[in-house]
Amino acid sequence: MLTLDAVHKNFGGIKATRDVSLDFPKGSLSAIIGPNGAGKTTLFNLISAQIAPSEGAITLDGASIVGRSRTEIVRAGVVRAFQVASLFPTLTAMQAMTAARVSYLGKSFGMWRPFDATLPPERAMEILALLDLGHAANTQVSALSHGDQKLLDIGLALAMEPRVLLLDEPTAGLGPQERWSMIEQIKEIWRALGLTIVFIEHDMDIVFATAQQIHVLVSGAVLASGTPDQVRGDQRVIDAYLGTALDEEKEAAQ
Amino acid sequence: MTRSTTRNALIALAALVVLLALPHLGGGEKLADYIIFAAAWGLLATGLNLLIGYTGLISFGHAMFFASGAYSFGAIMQAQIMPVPLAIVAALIITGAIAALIGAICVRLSEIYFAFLTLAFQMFFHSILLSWVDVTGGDNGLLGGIPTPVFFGVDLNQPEHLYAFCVTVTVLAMYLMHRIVSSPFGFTLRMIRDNERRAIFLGVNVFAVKLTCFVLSAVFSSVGGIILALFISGAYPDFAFWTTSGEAIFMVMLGGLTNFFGPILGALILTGLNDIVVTYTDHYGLFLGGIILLFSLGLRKGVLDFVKPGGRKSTPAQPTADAKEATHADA
Repeated sequence: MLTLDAVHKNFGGIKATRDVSLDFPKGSLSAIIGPNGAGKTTLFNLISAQIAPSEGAITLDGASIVGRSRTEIVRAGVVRAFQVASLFPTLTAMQAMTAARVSYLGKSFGMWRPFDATLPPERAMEILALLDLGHAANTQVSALSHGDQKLLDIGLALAMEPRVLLLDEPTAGLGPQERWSMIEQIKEIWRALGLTIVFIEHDMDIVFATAQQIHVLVSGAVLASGTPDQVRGDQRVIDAYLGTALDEEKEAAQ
Repeated sequence: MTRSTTRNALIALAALVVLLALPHLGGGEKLADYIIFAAAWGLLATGLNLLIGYTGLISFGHAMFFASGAYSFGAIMQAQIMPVPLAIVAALIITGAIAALIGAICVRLSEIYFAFLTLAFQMFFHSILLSWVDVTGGDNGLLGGIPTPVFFGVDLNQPEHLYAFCVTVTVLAMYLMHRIVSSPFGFTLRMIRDNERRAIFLGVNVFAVKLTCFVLSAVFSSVGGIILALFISGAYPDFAFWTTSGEAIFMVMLGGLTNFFGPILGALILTGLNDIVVTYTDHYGLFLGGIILLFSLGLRKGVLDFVKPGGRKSTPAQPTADAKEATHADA
């Protein structure tokens, strides 16, 4: 469904993305892993058109999305959530969801009808309920807990009825228990909505327990791709990344 | 109509009735003059607050739209080519066209760059008013009065008619602006104010929304200019001077930018103070400066900013410092 073909991105002399070719089939749940500075977020920025690739093709259902604007890509169904929740602090959760729905339905220029009577609230409520945020609907966003803010960030992306959802470190900044409940939420969304989800993740336990496909990035290039079992057994991955990641975890545990 | 729109329409109607009755309840002509004057400034400030409070864009050049309303209306009436209502519509269209041109350049920038570019266009506009003597009267402004022939039985040469007309137009404009900020468009403005980058990633055409808001803001501000032109039967280059924009910004700050009625309260306070202070001292500027210091350093809020929004969904709330950091941290 979403395909990258020989994508390069250079920042001056720095090659942030090198010859990346990836395929995210429809309805798949894929993880992107790699050490810091491997170009994971850059990859998301390329897909969501925050930056343009230096070379290569990015296609959605066979149609190129390179050169299209950020809003056009959102409208085409590729929507991202953010590593640090990126929200509207003065609105309530429900207002933020409704405002996003207003944009999705192309009613941003409606000036006559009152905001809260413009749309039927069902879909926004459904998404909040799916994320277990129903209780927070009328809470101002800035007063939400950290975890709820991250969920709402995903909720705003879902308000755009995405086909491909990009999640940049959905568990970052959460405690060990919250991480697992966050990832369960994401799997639930994935099953309920039949989305194609790509997520960046640092917690190897979560990655190997969750993703169908894992893509390992190192220094901007794809080192390996495959199922969790294939990647776990790949000697290059162990040498380049997993070994050190596991060592770090051991050190942290001691 | 939903319940809230019915309620708001009734409140606007009640406000209009009260305003129409006020001079007859003992206030007399002096009160009427004060209200018209404050209404003109209040529309300038409330229009400006569509940009400042709701969209997060601080325009330092709104006096040019105030002036463009006053001058185009005055010049059309002096040319005696159309009746008052049509001349008002024409003045709004002219202002809207100017704002669309200037806005298309300015709204691509943000923060200090936006502020300075609007300031620059305003000085440019001001110098055109001074130099295009045939149309604008140059330094002297539109002299000789603005003729206002009777229309639909309304004779704006009579003070009672003028007062009733001005407050009706003001209440109507305030009602329309309130509808706009309570609409999906109004909440799209709040999205952009709170977090422009995220709004883009939610498919909002930020440029088009900002430009539309810029034009609306200019048009509503120009209604204030038209009322002032009617009231003093003239238009002067000072209308477009940067100090006029400065006073409008100060009215917004004084009354409170997080409340829809903050700017008009600021206008009522400032024009009222003006009347009182100038009878005692020539140093009005000193006094004004003192008040600005008190509010910006001492209170850090406008009067109505102290009113909590509560359940009122139409009132914008300002991001707290923490919340702002949270959203800007990822930029």
